[in-house]
Amino acid sequence: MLQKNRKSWIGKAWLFGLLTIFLVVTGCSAASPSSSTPAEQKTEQAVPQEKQELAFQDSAGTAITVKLPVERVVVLNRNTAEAIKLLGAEQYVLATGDTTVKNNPYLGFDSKPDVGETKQINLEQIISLKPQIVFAYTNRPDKTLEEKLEPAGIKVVRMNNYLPEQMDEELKLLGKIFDKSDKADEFLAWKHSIEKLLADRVAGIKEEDKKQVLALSAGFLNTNGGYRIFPSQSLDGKPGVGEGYATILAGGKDAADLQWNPAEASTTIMVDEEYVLKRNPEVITLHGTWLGGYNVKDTKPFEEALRHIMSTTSVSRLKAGQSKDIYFFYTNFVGSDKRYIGNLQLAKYLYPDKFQDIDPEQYAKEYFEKWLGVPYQGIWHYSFKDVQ
Amino acid sequence: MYMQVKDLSIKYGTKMILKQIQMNLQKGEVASIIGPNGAGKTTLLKSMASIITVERARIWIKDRDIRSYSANELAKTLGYVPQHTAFGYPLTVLETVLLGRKPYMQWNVTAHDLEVAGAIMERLQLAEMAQRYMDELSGGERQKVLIARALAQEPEILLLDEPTSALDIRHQLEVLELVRQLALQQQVLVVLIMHDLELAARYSDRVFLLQQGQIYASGRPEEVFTSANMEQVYGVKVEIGQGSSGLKLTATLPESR
Amino acid sequence: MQRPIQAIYHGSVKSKLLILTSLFLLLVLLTLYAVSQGAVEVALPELLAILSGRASDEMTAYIVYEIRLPRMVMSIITGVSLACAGAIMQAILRNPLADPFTLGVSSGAAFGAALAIVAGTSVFGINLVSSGQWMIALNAFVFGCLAVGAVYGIAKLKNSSTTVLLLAGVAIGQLFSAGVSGLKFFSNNEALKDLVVWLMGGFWGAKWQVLHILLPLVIISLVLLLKYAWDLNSLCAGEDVARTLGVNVKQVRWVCLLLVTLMASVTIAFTGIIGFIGLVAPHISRIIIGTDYRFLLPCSCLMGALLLLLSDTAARMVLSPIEIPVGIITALFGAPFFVYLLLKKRKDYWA
Repeated sequence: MLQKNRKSWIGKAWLFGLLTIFLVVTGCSAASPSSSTPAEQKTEQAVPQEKQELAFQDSAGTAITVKLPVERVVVLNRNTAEAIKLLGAEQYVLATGDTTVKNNPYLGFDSKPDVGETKQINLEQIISLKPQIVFAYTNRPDKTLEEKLEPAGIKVVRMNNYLPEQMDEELKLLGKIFDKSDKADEFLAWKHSIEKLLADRVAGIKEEDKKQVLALSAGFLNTNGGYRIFPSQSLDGKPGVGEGYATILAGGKDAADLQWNPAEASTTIMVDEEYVLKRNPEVITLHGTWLGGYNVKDTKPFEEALRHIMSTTSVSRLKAGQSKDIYFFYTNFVGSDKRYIGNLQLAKYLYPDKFQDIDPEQYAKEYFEKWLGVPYQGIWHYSFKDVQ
Repeated sequence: MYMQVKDLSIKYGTKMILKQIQMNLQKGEVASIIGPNGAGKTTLLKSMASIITVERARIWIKDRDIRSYSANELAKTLGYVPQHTAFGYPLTVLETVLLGRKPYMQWNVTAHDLEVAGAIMERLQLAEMAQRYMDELSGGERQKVLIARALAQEPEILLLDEPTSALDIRHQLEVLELVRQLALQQQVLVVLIMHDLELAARYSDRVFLLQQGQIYASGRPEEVFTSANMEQVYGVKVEIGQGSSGLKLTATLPESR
Repeated sequence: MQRPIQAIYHGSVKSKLLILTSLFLLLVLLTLYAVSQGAVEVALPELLAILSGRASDEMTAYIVYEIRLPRMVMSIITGVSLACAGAIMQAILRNPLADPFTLGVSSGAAFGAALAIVAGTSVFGINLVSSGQWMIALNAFVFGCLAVGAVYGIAKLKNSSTTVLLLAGVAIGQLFSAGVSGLKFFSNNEALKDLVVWLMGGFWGAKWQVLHILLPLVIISLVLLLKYAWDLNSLCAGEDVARTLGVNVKQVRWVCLLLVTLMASVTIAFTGIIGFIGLVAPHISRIIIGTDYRFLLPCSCLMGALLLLLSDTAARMVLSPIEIPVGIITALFGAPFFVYLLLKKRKDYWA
């Protein structure tokens, strides 16, 4: 009897404790939005414009409404960071993430906080910066971002700024968000002119004259990791991975006949060595971020890598290996946000006669100096044609 | 002296397992070690088999320190049959018996090895089951195979740790009869650990009674199996009589009186 | 009266030799089949022409000689050394679930290889992966030994029970796997981040140069181990008994453990971790040929070679030309087998 009494007493105490915790928690969560509103109101009051709202759908298909003007953002996506710099809105960026500081050193975000790589983002730091918007890739990080940030009144806008079919629209959207629409249109006109130039030149190439190109991961090949191909098409018939699709845009033919599954995390497909030998491509494009980049001046590592690949793999057996039609491209230059310039360069490598009068370097220089406003430097592509 | 234990003491940590054991064993005799659980019987037998290494020259075979024997030399002199038969992956009966030829073999099994193994198996009536696996045998059959393995070593000394404990009465008698024959006919020295006191009395030439690591009494069975010894060592009252085939012991708990 | 025993013995030896011969022939046939299959079709007459040195097409000959054959030989050798390691470990540790994978040797070796790559490239440059192969293999061996030593040591502390040994293996294996992930994570060399050989097993990088050293190493170890066949048989009867049969238990244990760790870690350094072969091959062999290590050891090796060659051929063929990691295939049949062993394990074996 005594024991039973004691048990029910403990039960009651538990219940009471739980209730207390519950009350405290709800109290806090009720209090937190109200405590953050004054801050927002303050920034709105500072700008004497009338309250404006922008409603749009981001690239992940989420309907989002943000209050204008947007002046506090965190960017977890280095391609978006570059696009923002392009529009001249970099002063609104409070912090970056991903590998922006490391891989895009020319954007000048190294003085601002780095909230971490995609897998270990520091959410507390983001919240403490009180941004209006956090930009992230559509596929990473996962939905935890929305779950943790939206209750704090921070919008998560997902966009990629490097996929061919999306990047124009995304830039226009960024233009609206930051009130830089004119600049966006101006840039897109420049970009389209380069794309048109390439398409026009390439259109004349007869099917049988098109070069057979195989796009391979440079890193895997160099470290005995086998042949990993960037496919030029997807399972649904759409363009494949950027590095592979570049072959098509530059007027070449994909030496492989693989289709990429967009649901796959990896952008490459590992194939049997025999398959590559059988396909015997005339040209090989190598892709990676471990060679080249903005701060690289020395071409020696390129030569070394080629010699290594030639001596340890069966590349030397291929037509491309024998004629040394092997070209290295820094990933962002051909497979990502600077694709139009990289593709032009690839086309010039493939068909030097047709592009004699065109200097892709000039466009690259223009991109960096005119649009990004930073000095042009670095090694973004490399031809192994003349390496001994 | 054929085999001698001279002043053997063994300590595990601070616990004395064996204290100043003295044994003088003759060729062709059957000696039993008896005593309550924990008296140190198995430790004594394992030291005699050199499974437990003793630090000084305490055990002598044919006037040579056991530690001066090479592993193979000892294996040709001394056979050991363990109490628990944890046999890992089961071999066949023939393979198990052939293992006893290990000290004589290189890699190949010679005709002579097969002859020896065959003769022993015939003698123990194991030939029929030569191809069967050890785990398919009954406890009694298994015990006989293990003895056969030890015999295939052609030893002059045979040490058996409770060879009858898992067997029914028929197999117990068979095994002990076999052991006695070996001693009589081939002059093998047999040392057994026994739990069944009546059987020990019946088949042993000599008995060593162990208590807490010390030899409490030793000698011919009728000298050792006395009421006083039994009560002192086992803590039970024992009436000792003379049966038709040997001593007859009737034990009772002291408090049940 | 001795006749029947001799007849029985010679009969059983004959039937065991027959099993070994058939397995060997099966392996030869499978190799021929595997050599003829691949992304590039090579018809049988052409294959024979190439193998006899009268190749019509240079590229096809290259594919057969420099790509397919080394790959076949590599998977055979790996199968042999993993299966052999498993069979020996099961005997000397008296544990039916012991193999290079469960005892942490695989993870240890992979970590050793990874460490050599990371540390080595900072000193010798990125091309170490192909030029410093032997340094990598040696380091794999050192760490393989470390892993097995740690596992064995922990198990010894805790009465050498089957369960403790396996759990210690899991723990040490996890530790080294974490080490590999850590190295991958903290290595600031971008080029190394693509290095897949670390954890995922496969034979695509097989080369004759590697095999020229691997092959003698495995064969010599195998011959040395075969010499211990009777000692291993004795150990199956228990440590005490083995001792009284004239076996130097300690020496046999260490020599055998060292040899199989050497075989397993060096192959793992070149192929990455491939699970379950070391477990499945010896057990199937025990069922078909018995426990006598004079026959069990070669049988396990042949079985391991067969299983792994079959798995690798499947890995190449299923989605050809896309490759799937061979570890997926071996896990597909290995994991259920492991569970089966766990459930079926007869208690009295390992009392």
